[in-house]
Amino acid sequence: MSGICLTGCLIIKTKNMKLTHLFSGILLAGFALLAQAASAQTITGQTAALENTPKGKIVKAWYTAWEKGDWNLMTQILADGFTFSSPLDDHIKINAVKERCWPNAGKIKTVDVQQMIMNGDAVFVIATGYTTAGKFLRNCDYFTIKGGKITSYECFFGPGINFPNNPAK
Amino acid sequence: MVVYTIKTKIMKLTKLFGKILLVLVLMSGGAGVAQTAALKAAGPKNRQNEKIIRAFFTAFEKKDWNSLQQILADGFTFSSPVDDHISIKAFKERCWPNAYKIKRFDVDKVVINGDDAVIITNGWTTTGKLFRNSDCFKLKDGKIIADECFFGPGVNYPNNSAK
Repeated sequence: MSGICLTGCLIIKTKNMKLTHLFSGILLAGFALLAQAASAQTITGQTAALENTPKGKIVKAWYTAWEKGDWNLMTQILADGFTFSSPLDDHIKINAVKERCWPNAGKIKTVDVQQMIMNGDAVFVIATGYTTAGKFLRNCDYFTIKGGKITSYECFFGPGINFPNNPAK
Repeated sequence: MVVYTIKTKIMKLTKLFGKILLVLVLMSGGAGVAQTAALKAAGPKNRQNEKIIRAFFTAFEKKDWNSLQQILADGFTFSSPVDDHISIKAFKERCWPNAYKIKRFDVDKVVINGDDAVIITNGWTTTGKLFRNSDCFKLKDGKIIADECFFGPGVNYPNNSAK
């Protein structure tokens, strides 16, 4: 792991104490939590670490929902008033997403987060994926997240077919 | 790196709890200090890198190839849906002519994590057409080593013959 790593070492030397293991366990757990909290807020550019932050997990769930075709999961992570934008969609609402975009979910085989970068409410992801027909997608997705839910999503198209049902490609 | 050593022999529980609390408090403090230091260290670099990527768009606005060249690292590559990791030379041939049809860029959003940066810009052509793109930059030693442009709504780029 490159970037900034906050490391602490804890050494507990004990003799003849039954409870010691438990306490050292508690201490280590405490330490682990602190270290995790610290690294989550540290600017590292490390996608793997960012994926485990609260906002990172919400964004990961977005892709899982598409991959699995799980609309229930999707509705759980979208805020009231959520809007979806792409070069072909101008701030459409949840109902329109379900009608226009969700049918694509059935044609997505895999989606992988290649890069994640975030600050404040904004999360950017470069994601690549393959359709069930083996076609390639690579897009840059811009999320805004407030109160633990996705308030907006904007898709920028990269190389590939952009989205599975694209009639132009 | 912080090392805490606790030696216990026949320690009363209250004492041990006291030590645990102390260690946790010390660790919180240590983590806080280290975190602040890390953010302080990252801050100037982020600000510097933001200047560089903003300068990229300013160079296009001003048609200033010299300025642009100064912020591109050796081995720079440019990618977009229609360019696959092209070199500086190809970038100059293929993309630079667009500069003369760009009136201005409005920066809509910038997020920077060290040497990774994403910027959304609303570009306007000299004929008033919009192109809204997101550019993902990678920086190295204060220069741009890679730019991958993703297309949003609009004409994508000024000389786009398809739009």
